[in-house]
Amino acid sequence: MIKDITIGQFFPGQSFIHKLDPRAKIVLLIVYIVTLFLCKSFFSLALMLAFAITAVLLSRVSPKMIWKSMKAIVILLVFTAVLQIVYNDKGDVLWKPFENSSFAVTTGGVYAAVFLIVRICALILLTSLLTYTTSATLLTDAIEKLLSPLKLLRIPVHSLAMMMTIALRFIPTLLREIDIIMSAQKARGAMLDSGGLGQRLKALTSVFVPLLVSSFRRAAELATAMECRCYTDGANRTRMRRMRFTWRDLVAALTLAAFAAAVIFTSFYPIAQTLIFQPVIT
Amino acid sequence: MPILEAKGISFGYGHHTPFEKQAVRNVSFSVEKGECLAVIGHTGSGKSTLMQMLNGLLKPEEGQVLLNGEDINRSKKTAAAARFRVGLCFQYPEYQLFGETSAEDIAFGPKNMGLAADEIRRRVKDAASIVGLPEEKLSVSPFDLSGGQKRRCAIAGVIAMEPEILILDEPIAGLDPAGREEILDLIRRYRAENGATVIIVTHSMETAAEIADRVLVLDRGSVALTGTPAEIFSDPEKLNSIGLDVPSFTRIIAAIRKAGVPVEDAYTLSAAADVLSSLWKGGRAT
Repeated sequence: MIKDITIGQFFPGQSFIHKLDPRAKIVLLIVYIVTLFLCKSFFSLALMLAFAITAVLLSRVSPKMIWKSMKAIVILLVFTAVLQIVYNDKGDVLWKPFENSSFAVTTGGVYAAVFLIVRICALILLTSLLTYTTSATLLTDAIEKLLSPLKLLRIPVHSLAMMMTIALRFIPTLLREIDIIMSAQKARGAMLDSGGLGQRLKALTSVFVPLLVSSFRRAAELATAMECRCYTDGANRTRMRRMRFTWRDLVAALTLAAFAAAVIFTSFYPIAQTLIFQPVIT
Repeated sequence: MPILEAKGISFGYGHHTPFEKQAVRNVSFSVEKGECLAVIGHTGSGKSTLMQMLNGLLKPEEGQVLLNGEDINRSKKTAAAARFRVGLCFQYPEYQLFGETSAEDIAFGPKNMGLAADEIRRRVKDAASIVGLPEEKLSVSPFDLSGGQKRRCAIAGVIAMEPEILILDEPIAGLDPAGREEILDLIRRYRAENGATVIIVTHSMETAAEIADRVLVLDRGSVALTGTPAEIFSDPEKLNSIGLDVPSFTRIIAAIRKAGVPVEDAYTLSAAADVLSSLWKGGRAT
């Protein structure tokens, strides 16, 4: 079950998406998310979803992996959908449990539920694609570069980026460690995958205590190792790999710009709305 | 009938991802009651995965694991029960200690078996004495023990379940020579006192030669060789071809013979010492 966690995992590859500059990827993702929340019609949402799906196909990350990351949010999706259907009473009444009940399923509620589900799916799809196609080092390098103006405000951007690199670097290590400790305790009969909730919670101490102890040990060892290699805090450090924008980034940016323009046009210009598409949320 | 038998078992990780790896491929072997089997192989040869299939932690994708002739994966219940019947002590078990006292940590397995308090106390005491953990250390936090004591405390946690078969995954890894000798002594004592069946995973040829009745050599997830230490180590070329070597003392004796002195092969350290000392005395006499 621990092995099913794919968030933050990186799948090496040589696709168009992999080769995009990580800085461009982050900025484009932010633009994409903002645009996603500007969507007001099903047409504009479909455009954005199409963009996300195209990106996923271009990345050649196996659909099974994508599905795994989506599976994690199914509960969230169901929850939001139910809330929308229960609390939204706009539009025509579709179904009532009984005559004169204050609760009713309305077209407005159903539309809003579908709208939210598609929006969250598109969001998760592209966000997980960023970590799937960008290694942790590149990602933090890019974040450091993007945040470097903050240095003027005396914010220790480099240290923050290094902390993030280390944290990301240790996710798989700690997952493996948890896996080993869990197996070892299961070998002694710990009820980690069976028994009631109380038993499972109790059995978890046998996992978290050793995990905590070894995390501290690892942190101390890493600190010593870094000091041995004369690590200092950011001053005058150069990079082995330099990031460069290429034609790919231009293509990606222009494509997203076109999609965003279409979304804004259809969402905000009343003529376009009445001509072609009905707005959903009023 | 062998006490434990693996019939053509296979296991792989990360199917349908770029990290797919077949860890164990169609492995068959058996262990007789009271026997000590050493499983040797390189890092990544599938030793640890194989061991986790023997106690029901992992379910083989193909093949069966038979304990006293019965498939342990018949049902979820039998697979869970197999964890107590085949005691598996992981690599670096001291990193899995968590109890407030050593006694509490050793009692974790027996407690999970649902034994009575008296029985648990007896088992903790017995297990501690088998591994040679002084009684006054039982009331101390396991994190305050020395490195070798921590390891022995962790092994006691598995022995306290009184399993029919004890599996030790790299029990001497990362220990100094004295700590190493203590663990090997512990295994010998445990076998002598209980007639216990033991499987030891190691990449140390010396340990395998020293302690095992039979040796199983794994190479990239498959069985490369099986036999007694004498059979395995009398053919250095075959071992070399899969990147392993015979024990250092066996190599020394073989070199002496090659130099023209007729000596017998030695597969344990004490046998090698005997050969050398008789040679030394003989040399003086002439």
